[in-house]
Amino acid sequence: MKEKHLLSYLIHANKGLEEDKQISPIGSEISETDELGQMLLRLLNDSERECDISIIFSPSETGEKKNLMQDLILQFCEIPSLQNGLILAEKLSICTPQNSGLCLLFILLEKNDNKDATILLSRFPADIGVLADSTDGGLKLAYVKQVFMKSQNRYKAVLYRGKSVADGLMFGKAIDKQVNYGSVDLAKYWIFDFLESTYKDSSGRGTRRFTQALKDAVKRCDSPEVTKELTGIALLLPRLGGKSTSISQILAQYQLSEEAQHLIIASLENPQTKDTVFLFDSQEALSTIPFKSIELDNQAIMIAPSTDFEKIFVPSDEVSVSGKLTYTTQGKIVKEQFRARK
Amino acid sequence: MNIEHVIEKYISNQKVLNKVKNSLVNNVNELLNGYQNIDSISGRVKTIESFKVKAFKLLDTGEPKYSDPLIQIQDQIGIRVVVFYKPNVSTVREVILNYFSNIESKTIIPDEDDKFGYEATHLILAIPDDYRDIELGVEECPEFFEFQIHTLFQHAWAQANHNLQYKPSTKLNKTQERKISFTAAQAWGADRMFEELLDELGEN
Repeated sequence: MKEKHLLSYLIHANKGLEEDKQISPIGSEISETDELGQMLLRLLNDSERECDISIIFSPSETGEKKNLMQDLILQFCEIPSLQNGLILAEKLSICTPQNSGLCLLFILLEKNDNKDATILLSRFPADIGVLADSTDGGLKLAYVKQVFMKSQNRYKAVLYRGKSVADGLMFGKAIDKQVNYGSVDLAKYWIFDFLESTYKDSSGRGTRRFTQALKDAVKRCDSPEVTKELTGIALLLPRLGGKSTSISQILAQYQLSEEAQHLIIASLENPQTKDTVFLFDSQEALSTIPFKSIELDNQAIMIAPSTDFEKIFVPSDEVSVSGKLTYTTQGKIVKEQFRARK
Repeated sequence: MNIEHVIEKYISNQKVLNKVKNSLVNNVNELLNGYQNIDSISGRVKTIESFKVKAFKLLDTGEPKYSDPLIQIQDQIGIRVVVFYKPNVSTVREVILNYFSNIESKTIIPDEDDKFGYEATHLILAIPDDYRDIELGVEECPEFFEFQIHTLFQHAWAQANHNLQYKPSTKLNKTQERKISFTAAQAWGADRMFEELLDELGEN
């Protein structure tokens, strides 16, 4: 039988405030049989599916295998007291920027004698709402200021699951809806500051994985139409610089055909990595991108695999006085398209 | 913890560990392709004998150091890059950290300033999911590997010293210990001289 611990803390955003202006978190325990407790246990069950960003605790600044947040989580797993939860709540409070406002932190722990520990930290931001009461037959409405909701675009959580607490619960699965919406700077306090973690896959790894798969997909592709699709996406990639994304999200964002998607996913060493979230690195993409493009001032755009670009589009040896070049190329027309320009 | 079961499991994991090791060596080769002054890139899976010794180490309290050695021992797979000169160490480190998540990064030097001995850069890196073996199962495949960067002289000293200092039939006497330290000091000095030469010649 697993023991369950459910705690909640009201958190004020204290980041940047002087100590005397900071408001300390207040906490309470929640019974697992309450309606709220039942709702939170359902949240715990759903979190495995919902939390899709793989994260890992960062080493200390001096490179040591030491992480304060990891220690605090392990301490809580060992002794799940209101006081140990309060330490986590205080850390969230001093990491939360003023514009993020008030929130509730729920800490849910399931464990079995320090084995099979599962801990979920879940942040519900405060919102405003309207309370509708129809008990007297009529309708009474009241404006409510502090409504805490599992917000569609501001919800944050992290799940750690380990065979034993001694494993150190090195890896977590996080969700940060603000990151999913691309606003990394606004949301980075959850993963980077509060959890003292980083994405399990570095920007370089994630970006290179995708560009390599794209390169391999082009090599294996025997349809000129799909090749053009793949070439097109390669040129758009630098725009993703700094965004939090996954290969699946990129494929969906650029609405690639099923064939093109299949070619890219089949080129991955491990197809499951298509869902791994990483921060896109446009410099890495540019250095490994398989295509080169040149746009001329006469509105012509030339695109070709970067390895063969100079063979496909041959520039003239002479440059005119005004700096103009002549490029020549030769091939059969396989497709012709007119596209309206916005 | 069942000792026999852990060793049996480690033995049966060998094939997969070698496969993961080969993938990591290939990946590191690819990432360092084009960088100068790389002498060698190699990998190894910890020998069964060496794993056994480490897995059953005890703490001063007499408690086992590892409650789950198959998960907790992070150098079951080791990758080593040997570079010509000391400044190349930081270049390799920087490239590798761009593509692997690390939980530890340390420069190993003797504890005391007037001592000479083993020196190297050691990183503990997460094995990317691209190479973690699905056959072995997520819970069975190690999550980390050790990545070492040595200069040629650090490597030469460590290799030559290993058989003498750690596998002696008798304990080394004071003079023999000093001889070991002297060779380490020479390796340190050679690295230092080359670093200074690179600076003077504007190659650094």
